[in-house]
Amino acid sequence: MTYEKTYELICDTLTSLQRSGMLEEAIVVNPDTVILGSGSSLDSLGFVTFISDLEERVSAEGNQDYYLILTEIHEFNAEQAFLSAGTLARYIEKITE
Amino acid sequence: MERSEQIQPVMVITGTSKGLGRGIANYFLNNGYCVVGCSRGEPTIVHERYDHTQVDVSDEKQVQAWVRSIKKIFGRIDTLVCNAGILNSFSHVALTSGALLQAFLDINIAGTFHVCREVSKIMILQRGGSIITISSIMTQLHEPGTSAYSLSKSAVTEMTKVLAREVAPMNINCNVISPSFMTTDATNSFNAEYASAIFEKQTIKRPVTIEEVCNLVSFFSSPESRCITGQVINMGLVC
Repeated sequence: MTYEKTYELICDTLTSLQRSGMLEEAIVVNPDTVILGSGSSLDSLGFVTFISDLEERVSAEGNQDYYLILTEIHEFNAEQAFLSAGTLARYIEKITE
Repeated sequence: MERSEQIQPVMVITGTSKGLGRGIANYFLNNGYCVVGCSRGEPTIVHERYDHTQVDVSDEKQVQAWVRSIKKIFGRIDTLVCNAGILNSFSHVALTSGALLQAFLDINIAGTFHVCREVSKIMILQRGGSIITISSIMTQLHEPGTSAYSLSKSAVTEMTKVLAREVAPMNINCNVISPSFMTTDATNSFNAEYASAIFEKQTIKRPVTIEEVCNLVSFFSSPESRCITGQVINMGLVC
């Protein structure tokens, strides 16, 4: 799966969250957009919902089961949780290649 | 089983090969549910609305694959009953091997955790559901010889309460059913003297029946229990 495709799936997931009411406003997504951490528009449950939904979309797109495991993201530090859209897209690109 | 136009509620139960899990599965099959079960062995239930997969719940990847397949086939999970667990081999702390302790950690704690994690993700996306975990009054009686078992059930109770708080905004209720002594395959190995001694410590001095547990599962699966979450229902014992 290309970076562009994984990035698109992230955007689609955030759009879906906004439509469902979990996000008050639409997020203009760029690679530096904060998904998890200070500055994110998602609260903890919102992030869980986002990851769960994204996991399903990636699996559907890739036609096989994929699981997004934060601690497997090289740049992710569990003690100071922070995740950007770009980092997440690169991670998904890597696990789906 | 193909999903097609199944409109019955879907209940997922772990540990359906025998005892309480099989009893719960049969009860809800008789009440019109689609039941999805698992065990480490072959299925022991034959029913058109029953789907079985051989899963070792202590294996994270097996659980992930199983739950993902449930979503693909059935589209939703309305109720989860985490029943799979081991009860065997009571021994004092001083005589409990690391291997025995690890078995309780792997199956009773990690197994329950794996299933709750994967199913909760589905329920979060569907904005609703009921999760029921099974504990034991041994966590209240603190019987000698039950340390590994009791600590595993206490862990399950705590996990359920935390999960209840995490997913409440998504209309998902999580509760614990803690039965007193039941007459099942798991407890048949206990001698009558031990069973009698346990009954004497209970408030209601008799075995809890599988049907009585099913009544509670039915309640927690119903809209009538929507305001109840994070609770432990002790059956047969005043705590």
